[in-house]
Amino acid sequence: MNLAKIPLNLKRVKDDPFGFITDKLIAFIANLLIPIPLAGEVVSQFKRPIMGILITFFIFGLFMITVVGTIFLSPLLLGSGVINSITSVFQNPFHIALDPSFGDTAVPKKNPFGGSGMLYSTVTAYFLDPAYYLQFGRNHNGVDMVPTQEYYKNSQTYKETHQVVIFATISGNVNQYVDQYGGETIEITNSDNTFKILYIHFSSMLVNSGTTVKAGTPVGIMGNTGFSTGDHVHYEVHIKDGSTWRAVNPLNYIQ
Amino acid sequence: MADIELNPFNLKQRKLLQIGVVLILALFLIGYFLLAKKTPESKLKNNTVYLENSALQVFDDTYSLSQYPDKVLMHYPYLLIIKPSQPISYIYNLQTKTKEKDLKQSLLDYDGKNILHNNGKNTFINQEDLGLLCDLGFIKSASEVLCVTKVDPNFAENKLVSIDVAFKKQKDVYTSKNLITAISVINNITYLGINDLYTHKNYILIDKTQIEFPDVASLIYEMNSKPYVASLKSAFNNNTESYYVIDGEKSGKQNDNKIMLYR
Repeated sequence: MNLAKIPLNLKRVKDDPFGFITDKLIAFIANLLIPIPLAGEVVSQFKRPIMGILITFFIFGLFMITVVGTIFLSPLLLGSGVINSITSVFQNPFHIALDPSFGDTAVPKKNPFGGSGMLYSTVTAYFLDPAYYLQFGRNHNGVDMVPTQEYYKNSQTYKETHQVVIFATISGNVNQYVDQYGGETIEITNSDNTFKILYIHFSSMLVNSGTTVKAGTPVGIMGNTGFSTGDHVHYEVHIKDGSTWRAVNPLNYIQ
Repeated sequence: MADIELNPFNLKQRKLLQIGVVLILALFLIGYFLLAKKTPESKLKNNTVYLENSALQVFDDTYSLSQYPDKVLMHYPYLLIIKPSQPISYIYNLQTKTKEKDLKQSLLDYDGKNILHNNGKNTFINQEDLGLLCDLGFIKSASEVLCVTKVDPNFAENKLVSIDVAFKKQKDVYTSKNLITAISVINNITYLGINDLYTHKNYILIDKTQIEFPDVASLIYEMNSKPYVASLKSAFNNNTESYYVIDGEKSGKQNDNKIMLYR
């Protein structure tokens, strides 16, 4: 080790720390990786072009990663519906077809996302959930539902519209309003006045008060309006009990 | 930049230097990965589990429980954080102080081997349909599940049913005119939290003995081999948080605002 060079090195560190570190790094690499002294000399002589080549490779690598990433991520982005959810804002949601599988029924038989049984729906909060009662001091008179992965994969309506469409589960008269918490709400009462269905939290409603709809008619888009902490549909079934309506477990009316 | 001076090594010395550097690097990497696999307790900044203002601190991880229907359950040594809207359940082992697994299901209970969960209209243990829907549940053993279900599916009143898993036989254990708000089995004793639907008074049923409880029983859990009851924010307690120890037939308040679940 040459002690006489220490003051010189210290001065370089002070004056040009980046240049000093770069030089030492290149010297180390040259010494380590090239076991032929002559090649090491060559590397040190041509350090600027070599650094230029390394930087070019680095920029080219970044470019390739961006290009390849875009090629591979594009189908994933398209498949995940992120782009659709952005573009759907500009689509007219009122061209959604009636789902004939609901039939023209006065008694609810299907879940409001469509599909058979509970295939398309996950219940996040059940009818008369004790935890809801304990937290809020009132009964949870319906079920909270979100679509399953099966729904997103297989629902024809979702494939066509990229919206989670809620369907009328009975035929009847529509009453549309915003509830006391700001929840966009639709009630459908059958013509016999024996069943009343109530849906809450729509992001947009597709039917108006006073109209008559058939079961299977799209009535709204699932949302998060009102007393809600995330996108879901609150679904209630009421039956006539004497002169008053009584909420019953909606799961009993999903076949 | 100044001219670079190469060191005065010959070919043999440079090769030796190369081998040395590679060996040091290899030793460092082996040591690093061996140490990284072990997660000693000392690495945790927080060795406790507590709930404060609806924020659940599980060792160094934080979860918000402010949004219904998110909830926390315990089947010692397992702590379950459930977010039904996703749906996802995070399971921690309190003995090893590690997260055991994440499951894309909304769990009712987990005993280390079996999962109890609702799927559609019924409750399942693993893939086995139990033939009824439980509001709450507890895996008492590999052969017996305790299920809090409704006396009538259209009314709020609960009952406790014991289910023989192998034969799917159901036996009513306790039928109430009230709401069962929590369940746990600690030291082979069954604890139920009860809220009177009419007076809104709260009780704890300890096997067959009922004691009055001054707050809502949101969660019954085990800590240091003793039964504790957590009262989470509720319309019936002015949205306060407290926890109590159950000692025989008495309950003793431990703290307001910070509920210790593990220490």
